[in-house]
Amino acid sequence: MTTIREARTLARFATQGGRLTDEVVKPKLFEPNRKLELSVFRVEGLGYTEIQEIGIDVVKKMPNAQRLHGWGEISESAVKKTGLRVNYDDEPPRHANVLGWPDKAPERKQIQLILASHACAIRLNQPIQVAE
Amino acid sequence: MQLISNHPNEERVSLKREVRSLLEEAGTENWDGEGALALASETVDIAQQLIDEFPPHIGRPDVAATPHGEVDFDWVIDRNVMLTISVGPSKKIAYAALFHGVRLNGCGPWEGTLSQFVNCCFERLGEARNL
Repeated sequence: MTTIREARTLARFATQGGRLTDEVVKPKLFEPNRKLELSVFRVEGLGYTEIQEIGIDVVKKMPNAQRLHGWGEISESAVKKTGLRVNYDDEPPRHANVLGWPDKAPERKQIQLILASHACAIRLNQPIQVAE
Repeated sequence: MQLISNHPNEERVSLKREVRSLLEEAGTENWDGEGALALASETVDIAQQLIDEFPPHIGRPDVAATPHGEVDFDWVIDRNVMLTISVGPSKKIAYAALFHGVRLNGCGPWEGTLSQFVNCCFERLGEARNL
């Protein structure tokens, strides 16, 4: 499959099962860490295989992750409409953090739902085992 | 989504067991490698009490620990109908919902029952499941 995305598109990789189905991205995939950062990658201009390779690298660098299950894609504009901002640090290349999350849990979770409702689910037929 | 309605008590027991097992995964600081708060057993106790308040017609939620020391219950019918209820270290119940573009969120202390507002969310969730 080759899909070239034109507009600025962000991918959030799923390293655990149950974070997406064939149809929907679960809000859990867009949960920021304790520092209120959500790690994403710019994927516009890339094909499916190139995005998958980035995802495999992500899993390799995560201490508790072993498999790549897929990813959710969302436009940068949809993210910014929620009031969040995207900080592109390119470390590693194409990496960014989504910042500006509310401190209060209900508002934070509301944004997760909104992001999930605007995201596109790419679920791998078989999870890719990256680490032993 | 698995139904609770056929065997509500068995499903509740199973869900409570799943919640308790989160302590193995998330019961220590930095369990996610990104500085997560440890999930406290008191939080799990309240999460288990919450399960008794879930009506049988809304289906079994996804259950997970969060980096903020919470237990999350998520119901996702489709991209237009989603509900999240969580309990965290403050012992407050937080919820957020999306029903066809309508956004609802709030929180309140746990006093043994869920608020009328959350129960309204359950009703809308149940209606959406039956469409």
